[in-house]
Amino acid sequence: MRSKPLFFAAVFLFLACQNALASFNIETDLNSIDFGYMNPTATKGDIPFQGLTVRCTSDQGNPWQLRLRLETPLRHDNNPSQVIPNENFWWYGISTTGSGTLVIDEQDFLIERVAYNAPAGEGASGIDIRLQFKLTIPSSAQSGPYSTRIILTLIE
Amino acid sequence: MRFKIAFRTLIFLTVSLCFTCSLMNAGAFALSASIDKPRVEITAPAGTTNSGFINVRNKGQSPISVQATIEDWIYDENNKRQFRPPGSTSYSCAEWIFITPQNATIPPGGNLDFNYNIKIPEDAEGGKYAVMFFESSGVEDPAFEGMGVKLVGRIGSMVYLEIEGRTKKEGSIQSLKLTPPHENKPLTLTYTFKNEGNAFIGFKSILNILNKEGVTIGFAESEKGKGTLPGDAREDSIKWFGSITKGKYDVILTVDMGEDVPPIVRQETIEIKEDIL
Repeated sequence: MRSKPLFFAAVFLFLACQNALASFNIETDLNSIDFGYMNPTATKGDIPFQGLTVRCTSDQGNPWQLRLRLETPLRHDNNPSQVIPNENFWWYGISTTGSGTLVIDEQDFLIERVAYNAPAGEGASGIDIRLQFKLTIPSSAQSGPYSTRIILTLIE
Repeated sequence: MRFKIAFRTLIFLTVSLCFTCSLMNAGAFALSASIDKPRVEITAPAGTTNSGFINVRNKGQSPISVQATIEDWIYDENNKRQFRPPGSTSYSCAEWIFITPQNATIPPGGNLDFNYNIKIPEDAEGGKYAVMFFESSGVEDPAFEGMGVKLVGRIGSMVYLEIEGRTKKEGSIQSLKLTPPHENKPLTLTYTFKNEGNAFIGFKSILNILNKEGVTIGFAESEKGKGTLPGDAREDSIKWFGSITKGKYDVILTVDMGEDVPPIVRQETIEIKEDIL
């Protein structure tokens, strides 16, 4: 009879510990961004339409940052020598639930840049940072699919 | 009896709530990864091997592919941390760190310990710094039809390594400038801190204003701490907004460099030529 409360207490502790372990966390609501079909010289902005939401969580009490960089330029899937230069690809912040500094001006992908700076103590229950992207296709671009990876880095 | 029923009901409701919240949280995101140690601080003798682990957790509903990588870091001239390839900085320890496994797939709700070994060479001295990155991406590649960009979540665990008995933490104050308050402008103290030791120093500036009786009439501190690696010089500024009558005052700057390092204290005199009320 006494074991039941103990069992429930143990389950409760287990679940509580599951959350307690997640001390430094990054989440995105999408796995990828798709610009679809684009013609040479075309520009597409505000992609994805609803924004990419990145949720960062930290219960460490220290300041933290979200940074963005491109692993490689957008590269033709069948002809890797064909690339769309990083200066043709931009990102910008559109909103945040935090009180830190969000970069809202268009930034190219020439270097890794800080998108959001969180002050000490922020983010124990998660801060949402919404980003959008813009791309211009050079006039000389070869037709076909291009791909790359955006690295979203969370650090103290 | 009533107490028992109430207690059981309370426990049941609490567990249900936790479970529901856990499921809701997991379902909201396509990619989710966390680590338990965003910072690893080690003090150890040269010639030893130090081990530990970073637990990587997948809170999402899809499997994630995790890759562990190691880089060095430095501060640039704007005091922003920049990552560099292993072995490319003067205070690098990235090449001493080995992580296993280097690649793994973590199922939804699962977690995995990535073990690290740091082999410190016999001749090592001072502070050495690196970062262990854990890159997470969805396991299945999306079928793009045009311009496709895959998202990768990367979490860094900063490594601060100090060689026991061979670490020196020293700093100095350079080019101190004290500006009296004037009309709406605050009293401002600007100075440069130089790291003259052989290890990382995080510092914070504290300002005290004392009248001729030695009583503190004003106090301020810098908004946030700054980090320096050996040889780095960083400017810091403290502003004090407050009322003060004309006269001479002592201004004491204290540079706090952490618990294990004595602070640097500098005293200056300032003359206030008009009442600021």
